[in-house]
Amino acid sequence: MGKQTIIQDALSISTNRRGLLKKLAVASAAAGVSQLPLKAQSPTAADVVQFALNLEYLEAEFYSVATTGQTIDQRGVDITGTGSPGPTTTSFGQVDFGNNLVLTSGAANDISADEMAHVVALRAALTANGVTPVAKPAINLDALAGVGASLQNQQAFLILARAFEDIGVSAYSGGAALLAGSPYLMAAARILAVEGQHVGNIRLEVARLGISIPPLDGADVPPPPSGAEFFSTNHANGLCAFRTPGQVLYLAYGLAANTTSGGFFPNGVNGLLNMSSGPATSSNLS
Amino acid sequence: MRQFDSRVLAIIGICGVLIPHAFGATITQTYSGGFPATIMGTLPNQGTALLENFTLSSMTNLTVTTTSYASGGFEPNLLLFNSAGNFAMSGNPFGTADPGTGIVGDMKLSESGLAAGTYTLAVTDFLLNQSLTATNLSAGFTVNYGSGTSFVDANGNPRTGNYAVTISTGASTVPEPATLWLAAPFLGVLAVKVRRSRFSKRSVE
Repeated sequence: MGKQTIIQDALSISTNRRGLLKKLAVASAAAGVSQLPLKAQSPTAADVVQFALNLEYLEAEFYSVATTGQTIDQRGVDITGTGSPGPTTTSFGQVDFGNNLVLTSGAANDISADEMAHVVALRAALTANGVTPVAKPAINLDALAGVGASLQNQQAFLILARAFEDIGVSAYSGGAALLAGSPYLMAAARILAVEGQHVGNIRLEVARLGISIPPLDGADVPPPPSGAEFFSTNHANGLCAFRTPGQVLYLAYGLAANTTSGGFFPNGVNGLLNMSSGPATSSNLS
Repeated sequence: MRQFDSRVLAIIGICGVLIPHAFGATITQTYSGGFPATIMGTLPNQGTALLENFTLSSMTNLTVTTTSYASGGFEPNLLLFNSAGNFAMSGNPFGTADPGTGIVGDMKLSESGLAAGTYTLAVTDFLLNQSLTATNLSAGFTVNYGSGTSFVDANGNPRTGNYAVTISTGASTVPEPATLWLAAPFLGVLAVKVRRSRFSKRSVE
């Protein structure tokens, strides 16, 4: 196991900065690299933001294609940067939002505007702090088409949108510890709040329409009728789930652990935090 | 502004066909005159959709508004499909709340830089929609929750089957919410790069 793998594995099961650093130190010693400066491989707040930028690219592409048939770069958003750039692919296109009763079309347009703005905002925040943003990696929007989550129609759209939004909320929550005290905290907190509004809207529509949704992992709380909760919270503590970058990538890579590519990111995400871990569990809700 | 009653359109032979559907019926008309134009008529019941075909001879801004709810007509949906029957956009509630019902019952659909071509505007009662798994206009419409017969609005108020839809082309004076973010200062330069080719399936990179 390489040093980076060990560090990212440690990151994937760490819920706060102190615990993370402790595990990183242990991991480095175990790998026989304790003589190397730990700081050189420790994820920084900027690394977490770069990781979030990969996820925002995915969400923005999904909603942009769903609502307009165009990718975000076709609509004028800069997607260049460090790492490996790649195309966005799908065998579908703009979603038929012909069921105006559920207001999905209007909500999707609003969410699409938000997600594109999130890409721009994170890139601007990184640039303002002297960091070159990562490029948009290759994205496969059909990764879960086989299980009915895609751009094929309005129902498939809602299933995938629900997954993206709940994952996004948990990802920002999981990154909070590493963003404490950084210049990115305010932007991340505000984006998290917006993602929370998105998922609330989509979960309610899924529940109203009776769309069946299987759980993604042990921390997932599907809305009715598959689950019992309209909101993805643990009512015992009033909190949502958090997921570490590794746990998020487990889902994004197509339920694949300890890998650096797959699923929605066929060539992996760009940036230091690119290794999946095992899935989140119910403890991520505690 | 030109005004046409749907019965007149049928009489003068432009096109007027009642097509029964498995779930909802459709009345198809084709308008071939100039813009702006107001299309007026009466749908027989809640389960029938008006499909109004029209052609844009060149790229233009399109605005479609209804004005019939204010005068007792049904609460409408506006859905626009391209020549291949693929969904293009839907309308949003427009205007002020009706003092009698408390509902913003009329709709507006607008888009700037719409490509030349033939489009189909679907005008339906708000309870008549496509299914969640529809991928094309050809999938037809289904009545959600309603009886499919008499017209009622979202508050249960009885309505008539009357509709009045105005189709306008040309300059748009109100920026759309979806494009407002492009006006942000940090994106001003990027805005010129926007290209629109909304209706091409499989159009991503």
